[in-house]
Amino acid sequence: MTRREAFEYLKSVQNEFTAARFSVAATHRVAQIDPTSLSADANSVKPSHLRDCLANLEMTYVLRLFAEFEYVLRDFWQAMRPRQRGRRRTHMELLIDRIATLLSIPTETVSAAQRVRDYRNAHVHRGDIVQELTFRDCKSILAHFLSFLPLRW
Amino acid sequence: MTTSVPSQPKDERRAQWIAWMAEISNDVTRWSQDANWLVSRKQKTLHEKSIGTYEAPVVEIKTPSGHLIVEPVALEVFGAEARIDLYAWPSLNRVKLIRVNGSWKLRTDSGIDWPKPWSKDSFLELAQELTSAL
Repeated sequence: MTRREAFEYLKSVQNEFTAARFSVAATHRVAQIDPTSLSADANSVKPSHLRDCLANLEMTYVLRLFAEFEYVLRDFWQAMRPRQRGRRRTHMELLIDRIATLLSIPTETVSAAQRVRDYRNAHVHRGDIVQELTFRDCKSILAHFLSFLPLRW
Repeated sequence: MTTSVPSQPKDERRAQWIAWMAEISNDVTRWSQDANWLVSRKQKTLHEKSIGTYEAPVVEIKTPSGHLIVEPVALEVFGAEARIDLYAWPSLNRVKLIRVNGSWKLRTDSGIDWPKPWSKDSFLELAQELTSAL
């Protein structure tokens, strides 16, 4: 993988998020004006579904974003430590720290990435949210972490 | 997991880091001028929670094979006591100059230690390698 490809993974999630938000918001607006516009849909989409979808869309894409980040880090770590293939998966918290140590990544960059991981985990496991983060915040933080990976591995 | 010394007062730590950055930027400036390479210097503002805001020297070098930039990254890094990057522009080929156990060590972007110590010879060799690599 190359660093450019890693950035592209995050960028493609951002593009999908932008498209999804645009589409759902547009459909929601139409449904508010004309609720019968949804009646032809076989899956019985209701205006409230669209409202909930919009409300949760950003977090849904933060989860996607983090999944891509995790994929990149695991791919990098496997390339760096091929003998460990097949062993138990390293927890993301530890993986982030191990890669940070290998690559001498600034402490604040690592802490920020761990904040995104905590935020993602709090949502997945319905835990306490210490600090709200936007999709843009998360992408910026995770992309900054990836900027410390080599050009290719 | 960082190896810096957190017990040292903030001002002392920042002063120490500024002195390290000055030493490295002065060395690479002098070595580059000795090689008849064009050198320009500028400052960039960095902020780290532990030591606050400070000015860091950035050295831009024009070698016969391309541009090289020497740029401080941070005092607080995982697995080392400080980090300064050497990278070619626009290829972004990069080598890290990290401080470990009180001395500077070169490490490749993939985390492999450069076999030679930090010196004028290794800098000139790296400048050539980084700027000519695709």
